[in-house]
Amino acid sequence: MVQMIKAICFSILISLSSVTVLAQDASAKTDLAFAKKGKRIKIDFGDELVQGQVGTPDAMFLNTKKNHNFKKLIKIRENFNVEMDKSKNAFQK
Amino acid sequence: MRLSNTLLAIGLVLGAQVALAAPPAPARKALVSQAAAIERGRKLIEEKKFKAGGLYFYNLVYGNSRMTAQQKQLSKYLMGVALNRANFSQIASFNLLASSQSTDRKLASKSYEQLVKAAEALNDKSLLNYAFKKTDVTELTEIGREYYFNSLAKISMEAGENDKAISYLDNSLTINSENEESIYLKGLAYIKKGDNASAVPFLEKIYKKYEPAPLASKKKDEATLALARVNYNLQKWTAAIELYKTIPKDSHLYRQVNLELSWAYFRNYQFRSALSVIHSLNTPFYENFYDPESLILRSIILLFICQVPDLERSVAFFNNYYVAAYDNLKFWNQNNYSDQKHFAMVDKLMGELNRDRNLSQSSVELPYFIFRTLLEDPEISMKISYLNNIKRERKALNAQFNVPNAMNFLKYGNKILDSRIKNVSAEVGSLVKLRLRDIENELADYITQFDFINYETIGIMKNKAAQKFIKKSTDVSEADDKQSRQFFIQSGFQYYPFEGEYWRDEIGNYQYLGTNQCGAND
Repeated sequence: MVQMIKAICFSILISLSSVTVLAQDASAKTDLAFAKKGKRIKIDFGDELVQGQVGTPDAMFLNTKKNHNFKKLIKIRENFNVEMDKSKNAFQK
Repeated sequence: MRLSNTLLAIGLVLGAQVALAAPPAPARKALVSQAAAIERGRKLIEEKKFKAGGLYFYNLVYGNSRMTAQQKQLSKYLMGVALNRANFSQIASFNLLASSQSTDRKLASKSYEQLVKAAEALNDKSLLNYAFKKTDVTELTEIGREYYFNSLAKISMEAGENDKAISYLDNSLTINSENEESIYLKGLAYIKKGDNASAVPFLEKIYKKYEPAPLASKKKDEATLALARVNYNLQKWTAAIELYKTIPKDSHLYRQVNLELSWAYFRNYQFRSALSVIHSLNTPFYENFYDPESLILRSIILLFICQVPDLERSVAFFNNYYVAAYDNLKFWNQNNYSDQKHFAMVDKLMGELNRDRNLSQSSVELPYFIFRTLLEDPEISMKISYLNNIKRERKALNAQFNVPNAMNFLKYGNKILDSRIKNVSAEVGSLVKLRLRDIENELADYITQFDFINYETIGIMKNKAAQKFIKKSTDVSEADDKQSRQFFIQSGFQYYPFEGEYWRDEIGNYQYLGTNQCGAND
C-alpha cells in the first residue's frame, strides 16, 4: 500500500515536472516567434555595465536604378525659330 | 516737292483755323505777323536751307512768347522737319513729339510720320514702334504704305499677335504682291503660329526669286536658310540638308549654317556626316564665339556612336572652357553690378574692337568669347547703334553750330543729346546685365546636359570593360590576328586624333572617320 502511494506520488511529481518543462519550451518558442515578427524583446542586463558606440558606415551607398537612360533627357533641337526671327530685317528695303 | 506740298497744306489748315478764331484787331495783327514769320521759316526749308531753318524755328519757338499754342506747335513741327533733314534727328524728335500732341489731327499725324523718319535714322526701335502705332495710314505721304504695314506686322509679331501680323501683311501684299519683306514676314508669322506647312509657299516663293542670283548674295543665303529651316521644322531632313549645303563658305551665315546642318544630319541618323561638319566649328578658327551648342551636339553624336575617347575630349573641353566661364559669370552676376558698370565694360570692349577688328583677347573682366557674342545680339547691337548715332549727332552739332548766333541752340541741343546719351548708355548696360543672366541660366542648363552625357559615358565604359573581360576569358586568338592592315586610311581609323588643330582651307572640308563603337568587342 505504502509502495503504491509512493509510486503514485512519484508519477505525479514526474508529470508535474514535465508540464513545467513543456511550459518553459512553449514560452521560449513564443519569444522567438515575437523576435521573428520584429516585436520588442525585453532583455534584462541587471546591473551589468553595457559599453556601446554608434556605428556609421564609412562609405555612402547610393541606390540607383539600373539602366537608367539619360539619353532621353538630352535636349534635341526641334526648330530654329529664334534664329529665323533674328533674320526678320534681312529683306527690308 | 512732296515736302513743300505737305507744308503748304498744313499752313493752309492753320490759316483757316486762325481766321475762324477771329481775335480782336491788335491781336490779329500780331497773329498775322507770327504767321508771316512761320512762312519765312517754311521758305528756308523749301530752299533746302535745313540748318538755317532749324535755327530759325528754334529762335521763333523758344524766343517768342507772342505765339499762340497752335502756332508754337506748327513751328515745332517745322523745326523737326528742318532738323530731320539736316541729320539732327534726335533734337528733331523732341520737337516732333511735342507737335504730335496737337489737337489738330492732321498736324499730329504729320508729326508722327516725321517721328518715324527720325526714329529710322537714329535706329531707335522704341520711338519707331511708338510712332508707327500712332500714325494714321490714310495720312501717309512720305512713308511707303507697304513699309508701314510691314512695320506694324513686326510689332504685332513681337507681341505674339501673329494673326494680326498676317492681316497687316495681307494689306501690304495687296498693294504689292512681290514685296519680299512682306512675303518673308508672312512665312515667319505662320511658323510662329506653329503652322509650318502654310509657311512653305511663302518661303519657297522668295527662295525661287533669288535662286538665279550669283553666289555671293546675302539675300539668297537668307532665303535658302529660311526654306531649309522650315523643312527642318517639318522634319524633312533630306530636303533641309540639300538646302543647307548650297550656302557657300564665304557667306556671313556659314557658321550658323554648319550648326543647323549638323543637327539635320543628326536627326537623319547620318552621324558621321554630322561630325564631319561639326569638326569645323570646334576648331580654334571659331574659338572666340560663344557656341556651346555645337559642342553639346558633337558630344551627343559621339555618345550615340559610343566613341568614348573623342567624347572624353569633348567633355574635357567643355569643362575647361564653358564650366570655367560659367563660374566666372555666376560670380559676376551675384555681385549685382550697376547698369553703368555693365555699360563701361561694353564701352571698353568696343574701344578695343575699334582699334583691332581681329582682337583675340580682351582686358574685360568677363570671358571675351561670351562678351563678343553678346555684342552681336540684335537688340543690343541696335541700341549701341542708336547710341553711336546720338554721339555722332552731338559731334556734328558742336562742329556746325559753334557760332555766336547759335549759342543758345547749341546749349539746348547738347542738353537733349547728353541726357539721351546717359539714358541710352544705362539701357545698354541694363540689357547686357539681363543677357548675362540669360547666358548663366543657359550654361547651367548645358552643364546639366553634360552631366547626363557623362553618366551615359561611364555606362558605356563599364559595358566595354565587361565585354573585354568576357572576351579575354573566352577568346582564342589566331595567327594572322596580329598582322597589320594599315596600308591606307580606312573607315574607323585615323592617322591622328582630332585635337582642334586646323588649316584655314580645311574649314568645312573635314571628314569624320570614326565608326559606331556601340557593342563592338575591343
